[in-house]
Amino acid sequence: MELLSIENLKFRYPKSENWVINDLSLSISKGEFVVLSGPTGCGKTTLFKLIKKELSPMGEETGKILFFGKDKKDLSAQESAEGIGFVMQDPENQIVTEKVLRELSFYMENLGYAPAVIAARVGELSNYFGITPWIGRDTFHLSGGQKQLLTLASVMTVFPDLLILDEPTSRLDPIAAGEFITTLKRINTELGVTVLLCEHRLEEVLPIADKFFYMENGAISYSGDPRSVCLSLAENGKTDILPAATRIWHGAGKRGEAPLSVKEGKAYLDRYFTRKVALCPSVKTGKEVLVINNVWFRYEKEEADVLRGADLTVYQNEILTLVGGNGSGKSTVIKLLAGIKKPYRGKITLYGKNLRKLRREELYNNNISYLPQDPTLLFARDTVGDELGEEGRRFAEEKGLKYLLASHPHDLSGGEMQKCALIKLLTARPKILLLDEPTKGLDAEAKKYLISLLKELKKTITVVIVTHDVEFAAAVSDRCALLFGGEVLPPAHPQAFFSENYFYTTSASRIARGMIEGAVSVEQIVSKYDAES
Amino acid sequence: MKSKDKFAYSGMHPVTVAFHIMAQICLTMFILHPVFVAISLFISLFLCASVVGKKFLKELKFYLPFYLIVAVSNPLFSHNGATPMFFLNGKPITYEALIYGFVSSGMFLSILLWCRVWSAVITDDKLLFLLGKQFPKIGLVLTVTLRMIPRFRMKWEELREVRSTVDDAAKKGFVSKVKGALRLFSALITQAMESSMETGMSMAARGYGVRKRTSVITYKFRTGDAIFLSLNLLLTASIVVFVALGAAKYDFYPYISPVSVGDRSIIVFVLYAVQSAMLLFKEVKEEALWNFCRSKI
Repeated sequence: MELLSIENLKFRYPKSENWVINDLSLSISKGEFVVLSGPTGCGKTTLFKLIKKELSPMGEETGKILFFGKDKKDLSAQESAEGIGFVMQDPENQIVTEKVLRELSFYMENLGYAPAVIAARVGELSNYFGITPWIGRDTFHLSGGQKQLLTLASVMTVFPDLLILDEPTSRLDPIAAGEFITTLKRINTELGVTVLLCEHRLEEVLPIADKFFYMENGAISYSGDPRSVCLSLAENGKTDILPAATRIWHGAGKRGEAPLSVKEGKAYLDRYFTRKVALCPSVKTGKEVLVINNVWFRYEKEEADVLRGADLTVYQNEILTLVGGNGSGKSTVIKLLAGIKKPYRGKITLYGKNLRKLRREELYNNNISYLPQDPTLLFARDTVGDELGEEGRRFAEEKGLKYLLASHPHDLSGGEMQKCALIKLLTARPKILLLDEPTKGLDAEAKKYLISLLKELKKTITVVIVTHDVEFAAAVSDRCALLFGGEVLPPAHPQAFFSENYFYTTSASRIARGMIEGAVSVEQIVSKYDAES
Repeated sequence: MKSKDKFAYSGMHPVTVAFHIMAQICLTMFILHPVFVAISLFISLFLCASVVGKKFLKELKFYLPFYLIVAVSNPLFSHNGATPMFFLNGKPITYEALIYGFVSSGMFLSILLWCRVWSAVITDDKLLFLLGKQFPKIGLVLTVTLRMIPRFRMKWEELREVRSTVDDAAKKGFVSKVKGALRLFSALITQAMESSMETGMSMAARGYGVRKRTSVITYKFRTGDAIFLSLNLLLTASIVVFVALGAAKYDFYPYISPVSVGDRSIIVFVLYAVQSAMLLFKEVKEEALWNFCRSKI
């Protein structure tokens, strides 16, 4: 049965010339698990908001959105609120109440459910989602993963027919993201809820999806079952967005059916590859730039330590990446390196000088540049152009971003923001670049560009990155380290690092394990392909 | 760990508590009399310390300078009063204006402290309970605003840190610093608006305001609430009557009137003290009861 059908939808924002959604049609049947993806700025979020009446932005809208065959405009407030559940990107801003328990009952209370029904359902759902152990806590103190799970559970309390999720895992670490996707799959298979999910990381979601839409310039350009869409994407040269297994297939012989999941990828390697070893180059060290020595840090007097005797050395002209779970202290380390937080014990030195003793001008003029997790913080002026300055504007024009210069910083998409922020930082001509989650909101193409840019910059400057994105970390870094238990575990070459890890690792590394030892990227695997075997 | 739930107010009906604090804020606001102000100020201080806990000591660092600045600035701007203490730039600094400054600043501070008590005791879900049914729109606005405050503080901190690493780092001089601070502030407002818009959307997406809200937590209006509320009403009404009859009349200019403890005044003082301290009494009683009950575990 057709649950949602969109016919020739067109939409543009007021006072805007171009159509954000341009003649888009799609249809989703009941019970399907649908994944939608596309480059940043292609109109995914706008599309999602248009489907849900309460969130629809102002603007000019033509075409039809039918929910159970009924036009969106004819749905009653109750039908729309109860029929379509919506989970947004940022768990921070979606939670309304102070207590977890109250958040779970919020949706049902709004729709006037009887208290007894609410209490019973909250009890049931909190067990289903594994929320019970922390149900009495303040929502403010939950981890990112818990917050997003809570948002999902809260939406699920009314059992909507359609569940829309807009990049729900973009703020989660890989393990929490994996758990979240698994929960989604459970909801879909066990409860029969239709899921419409927008994701950049296709590795985990495509193998479980029934349908895959690829969106470009406000319209669906590819649609169908995931495997066939991947094939047509590969044929049209859009290989970067594909899952690792499919990329290996594409680069290494294209034999048999295209694999999607890690499991299928491993089978492909077993069949068409011979056992080989990808040698791990040794790590080069240079001049010591930043040294963290036995550093202890906590945010508040009464709180627990975030860092407990952490040590780390950053060498000149290297890219060092730190990975770790949500709340492991990654962002803390980078803030300490940037000199905006101070340890209560231990010492950090910059070129041998105590960071604490350096003046602000010495630290930040042509020395350290810091990209915060939320890059909009760097933009305090009314337009992007004002903030970038003359040099930055010229640079942006060279990069084809001229159209953004007159916009308000908050109107930029995540990816555009990230690019402009980097330009702003680079115009300060830093010697050391500190990046907190630089790939947040970037699509595959932009990520590829960022990797090449950083590798180019490395010749003259030193880069420290913290990220959730293991694929990015494996591709860009010279050394990687895991943060755990308040310490930085000893860094290693990404190949050594990721081929040792089982969970904090790339899909390619999981596929390669046992066949191409030491390989952590698709390119490394593909280079070992031998057409004869 | 001492949780907020342990306090007396969590067992009371939100209407009872809300009415009491509201009444107290109104009374404090309208009676400018040193004795009344002193009572209200001291009790709100104690109550804040008990409700907010250790954190309150930190907050005092903000409240005390605020008190002094407001108090001292009055005689600098107001030159009424008959008793000049000394002259500054040819303008008299009077004893009366100084006293007026201290009393009115005390009033401001105690209003602030009562509001602090409100924010600690009337949690978001209680507010939703109070307003959600009849006034969902106001409830929405208030919830979003209240959730904004702690995040506002965090964002401010973050923003200040990040801005200190970019171009503002190079600038010196008073004017550019003020400009920088203003820019920071406007950026903060924009940030806050953005995130509260999302909170509002998340509420709308989950059907807020579609129907009359139910509440899974039903606060029971118990006998204790009835007694507390009626006593509260009675006290407030009698104080209002006494005040209307001139019991709290007090002049600062041209001369400070003496504080009379005559028959009628002393009654109002006592009534006012009881009214202000009702929550504190309840708190002490519950604390004792809790300790007694625990001793039996």
